[in-house]
Amino acid sequence: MEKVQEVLEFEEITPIPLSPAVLPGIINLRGQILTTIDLKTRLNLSSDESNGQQMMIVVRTSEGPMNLLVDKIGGVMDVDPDLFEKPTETLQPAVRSVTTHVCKLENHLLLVLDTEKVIQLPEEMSSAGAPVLAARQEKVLSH
Amino acid sequence: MAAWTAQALTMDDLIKEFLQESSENLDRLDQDFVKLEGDPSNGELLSSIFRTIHTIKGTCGFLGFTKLEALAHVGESLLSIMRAGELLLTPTIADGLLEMVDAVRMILKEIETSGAEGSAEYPELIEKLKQLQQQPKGVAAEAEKKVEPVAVAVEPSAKNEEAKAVQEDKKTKAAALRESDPPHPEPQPKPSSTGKRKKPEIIPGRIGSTLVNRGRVRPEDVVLALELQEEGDHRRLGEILVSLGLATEREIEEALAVKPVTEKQEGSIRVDVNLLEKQMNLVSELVLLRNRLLQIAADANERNLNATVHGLNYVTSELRKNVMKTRMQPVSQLFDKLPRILRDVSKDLGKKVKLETHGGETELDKTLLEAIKDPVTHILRNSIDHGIEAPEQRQKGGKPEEGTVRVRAFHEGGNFHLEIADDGAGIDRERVKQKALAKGLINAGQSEKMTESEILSLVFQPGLSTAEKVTNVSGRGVGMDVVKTNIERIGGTAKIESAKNHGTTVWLEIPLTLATIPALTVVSGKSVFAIPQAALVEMIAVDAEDSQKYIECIDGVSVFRFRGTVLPLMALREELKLKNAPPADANIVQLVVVRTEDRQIALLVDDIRNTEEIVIKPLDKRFKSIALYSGAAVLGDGRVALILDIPAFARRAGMVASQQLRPAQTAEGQRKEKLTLLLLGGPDSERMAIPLDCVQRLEEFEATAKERMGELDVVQYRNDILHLVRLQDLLQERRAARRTEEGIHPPAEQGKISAIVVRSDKSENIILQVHRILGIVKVEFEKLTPPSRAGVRGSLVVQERVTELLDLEALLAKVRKIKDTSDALVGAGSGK
Repeated sequence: MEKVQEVLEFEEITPIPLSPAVLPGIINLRGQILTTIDLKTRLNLSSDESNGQQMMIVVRTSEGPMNLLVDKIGGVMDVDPDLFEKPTETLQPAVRSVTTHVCKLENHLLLVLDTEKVIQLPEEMSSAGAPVLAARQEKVLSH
Repeated sequence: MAAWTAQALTMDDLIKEFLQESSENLDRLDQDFVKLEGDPSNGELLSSIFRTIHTIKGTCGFLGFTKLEALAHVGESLLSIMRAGELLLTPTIADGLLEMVDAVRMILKEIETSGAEGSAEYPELIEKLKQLQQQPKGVAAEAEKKVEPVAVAVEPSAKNEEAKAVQEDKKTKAAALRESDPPHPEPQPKPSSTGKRKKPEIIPGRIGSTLVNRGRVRPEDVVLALELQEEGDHRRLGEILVSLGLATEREIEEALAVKPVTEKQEGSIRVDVNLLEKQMNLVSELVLLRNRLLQIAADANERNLNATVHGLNYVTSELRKNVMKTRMQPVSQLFDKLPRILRDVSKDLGKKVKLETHGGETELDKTLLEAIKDPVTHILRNSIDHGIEAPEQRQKGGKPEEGTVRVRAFHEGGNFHLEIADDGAGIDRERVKQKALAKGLINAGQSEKMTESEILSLVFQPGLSTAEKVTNVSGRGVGMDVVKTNIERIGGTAKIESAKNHGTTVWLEIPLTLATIPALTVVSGKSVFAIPQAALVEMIAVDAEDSQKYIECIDGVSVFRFRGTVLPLMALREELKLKNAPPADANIVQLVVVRTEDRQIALLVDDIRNTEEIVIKPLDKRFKSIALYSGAAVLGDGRVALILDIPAFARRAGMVASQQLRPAQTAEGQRKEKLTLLLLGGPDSERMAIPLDCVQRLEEFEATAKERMGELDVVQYRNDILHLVRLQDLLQERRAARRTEEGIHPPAEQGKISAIVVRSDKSENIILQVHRILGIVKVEFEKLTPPSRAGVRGSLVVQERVTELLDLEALLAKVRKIKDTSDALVGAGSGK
């Protein structure tokens, strides 16, 4: 996925008062104002791993660059397309709706996200049910 | 085809270029036709028109747009007859040709959007244009006299013969042209044979090639001229071209001047607007980076760095200025479009109007120029339709039969001004008022109180049109309100002034550029916000201790007393639900007074920073639902500030609706009324309310301040003596008997008196003494329960209590009555 424009260290996010939790605010990337989407909130995940510095991934989308706020970046890897499988039914709906493929790696599950869908926020970005996913979530930073 | 300069370009590029070029050409055609109508025998103008249409036709053939070509062809044929002096431009012909221009425009639009010509073929129009070619010869004969006064030797009949031949020739050619690719113009004078022959080549380096390369003349034209030379025309190529009207003498001269130098760079190039836009954005960012660097350099205090940064500073400023300049366009671009509109509209309405434009060289940012196009067109239409009277009427009124619309552009105070004035009938304020009444925009009570300019500003209200009958020009009730919103959207203002029988003037004031705006930055919570300077009235710092005097928070609605007026107050921190916000200086309350149109509101902020030039960046649509921000901006220190949408804040304060048109004060309105009320408590804990708009101030007086004067009490208030009336005294008492027992004068009040200063439009302000002020509420109601006593409009339920809505006008009338009787007594000098 050549969707990633760049990866940023955590920068100061300017909060937008009255905006939902999934939109923590905007950042100034070299004079360009980017909307930030909190991926964790977007995917309805718990915030266990929030210790340590968060990272930002700027992705190219049809609406221009968008900034995704993530806990950490696993790394860049080339994945054999043969390993890709259709997302399973067992995935949480919020996650499944934005996942294009699931990839079983040796010790964990890798989800390939559809950035176009990630930036389309559902009508009600409310927290419905506690997330139960144990697998490590990563974005694939490869071709 | 030889020497076709655009060979290297792809078809798409060619079409794109063709579209752009053609739209400019069509605009020029509009103007030229209108001019030609005023001066039908102007050969040069006619030639220019002919050439333009010929160019379009030629390119169409080349690009394979057959319908467009056919259309342009009939137009061209007609024009070539006219150019030969056989026909003179009549209004009918002008109509037909302008219609053709419009049709061409439509097809071009279709090509632009879909890439194909579309299905419309305009057979009627083509037929009409063909008909026009067969105009009676009488007209042609007359034309001859004008155009060729010397050519008397030619027998008129022979001339007609020739004209016929030309027409016939044209018809056969028209048929042939549809098949053969690049068409060439009708040869003038008519060559004896039309048979095909080997076409001569354009020789590079000669005048013909230069002209083609410079885009002045089509290659076909040069070929045509060369053909003529071969046929025995001994004139020089340039002369032939000029005589055919395919080039002007100047163009030939220019080409000749260029000739020695093989190729010369063009003086200007076409640049994609998007590219320019991008460039502007980059420069804006560069400016911001420079600002940051300046700060860093100032802190670092390094000599070398400072010198470099100052150099950068200078270059950046210059660059910015220049890029801004590239976006500036003379307003004449807009002016050029007006004559055509004027012509069509005035012809439609049977009026005689002339247009005067001044200051066409005044420049304005391209996007803004684009944005004012429609509003200006509309105002012009309005001026002709509503403003300028019919010719007979004008004569009767002692005015010249021909009306004048004057459009003037100029720069003033860093803004662009446009003034559109007509010398028509002016706006009948009475009719505007009646209309507004009839449409329920205002009610009777309001209409009496409205000032002249307030009535005029009604014109900008949606749904108001004073046109007696709906014409297809204007009068559908949409228009001026759209003008106003469009102008305001780009940060401008629209004003109207009108004098009966002398005309109407509309003023537009528009910022020069949208690129950057000055804004005040304020802090609330941890965030920085920007308030556009245009909305700013003033900044006020109040000592926290004193703030009670100025700020009243009653019933959840805060108001700020500001020089005799009561402004709604909004605390930014609360409105935006900002967390942990310790004010920078707890001893000082910072307020920013902002305005929208005429209403003002006060914003309570934590701290005020400074004013900066900011670049507005749009906010993501995901934030649209919040609707309180108009964008974001990167500040000089790299922080991001949200730009507050002041009108949205005012709306939130529920005040804008009641701003221009004060809420109705009679119960006749059937529509839902929205009011902000001041709640009052009576001595028997009954509840009353008056519209907050009528309230000027809330006051407290020492009971001892009350003085007796005649039948009424007075107090000294701000160097003025105002009547003070007890509200209860004005209202018809329900328990009149009990009060009488207590005596006419109720027990003397002690301590403080609560009072409200109410505005009265008819006489001076009056102070109403009330029992208790309870608070301010916003209510919405459809109908009031009918009143049970005089001085009351009716009752409604507020906060689960029946509340009487007072009829202030009736109460004030009562006061005036008492005063009048007492004035008679005061003559004797009675006092307390």
